[in-house]
Amino acid sequence: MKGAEAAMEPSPRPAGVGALGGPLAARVIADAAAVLVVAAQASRDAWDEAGGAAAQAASLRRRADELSAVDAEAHAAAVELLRRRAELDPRRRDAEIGRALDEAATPPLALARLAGDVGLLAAEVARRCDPDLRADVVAACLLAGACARAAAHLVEVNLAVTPDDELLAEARASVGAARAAAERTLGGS
Amino acid sequence: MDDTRLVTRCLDGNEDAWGELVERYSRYVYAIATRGYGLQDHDAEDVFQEVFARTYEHLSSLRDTGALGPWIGQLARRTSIDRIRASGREQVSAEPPEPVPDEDPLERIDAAVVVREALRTLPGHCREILDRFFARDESYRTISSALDVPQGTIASRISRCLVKLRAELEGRNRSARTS
Repeated sequence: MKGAEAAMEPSPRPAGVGALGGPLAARVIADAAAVLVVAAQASRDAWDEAGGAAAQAASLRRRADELSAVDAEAHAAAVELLRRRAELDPRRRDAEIGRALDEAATPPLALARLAGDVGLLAAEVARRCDPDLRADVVAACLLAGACARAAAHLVEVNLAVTPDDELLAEARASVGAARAAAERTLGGS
Repeated sequence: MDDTRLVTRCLDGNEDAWGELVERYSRYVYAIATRGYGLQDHDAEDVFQEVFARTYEHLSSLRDTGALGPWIGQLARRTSIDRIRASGREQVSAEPPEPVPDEDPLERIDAAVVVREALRTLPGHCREILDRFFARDESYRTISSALDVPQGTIASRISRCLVKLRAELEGRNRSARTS
């Protein structure tokens, strides 16, 4: 286990610096969803279901805002446990660290799913919204795709996640959904 | 099942009906305690237990069985206030009072109950897809798998169901204004 413990050594980072990538992705996803809210609301005159799209985008935006804090907390808890691993009961150490790492992988997976959903909704909004706002919606869709990829990467580098892990497969599926949505929106430009 | 039938079955001693009553109003009670009165989780849990204990005890005294929701809401408000008063006696806070938000949270909760009632009038597939997306925060992928429909069509299905829900709510508002 000594080799594994050494591999789990957290990278040195300045004091007070916690998770950065996850909350950043969450903020971008929230902003992309906010663009969809605006675009859908502004298209109500010509699109009967615009209000429904706006409501969905608002829900996705709220989820992204909530995930930002969750991701940072889960990451901080895992880093703290790794820092204190020498103090942990050796009989429970591996299990506790494994659980903390599992929990730290869950928010990035949720972010990947969320980014995939924003991408899918963006594809729908881009197809139906006011043409003047279409380019902004396409931009939001592309950003959602980038966030899905970033979040999947955060899942991938988690030490508790193996290459054939279902978490990773699901994160990659979300990347695929977001990418396909982005290609559809670009193709319709 | 509407509230009148639900209450009747509860009073007949049907345990499943009682479980459904708690399920139907649990979020409402919890929302009143936490969002309406700002109670912490442990206090909200106590309010939750007490409200449903009182509901169980006094359900037979409810005259208008169709008014179950407002009755439980009133119980939840009174119980939350009792809880705040009890906490106040135990600890005097030096903190300044929280600023009052522009929008009354209780009005928002009441609006949520109206929406919930309107939801019951929608077709089952609409109720399910709206509940999964907005109440359970499920992803399009999860909904797609559960309902066996293409992922790319979920957003438009949700939008169509929301149009139906809006029509139902607008119909209710018109009825309320003319009555």
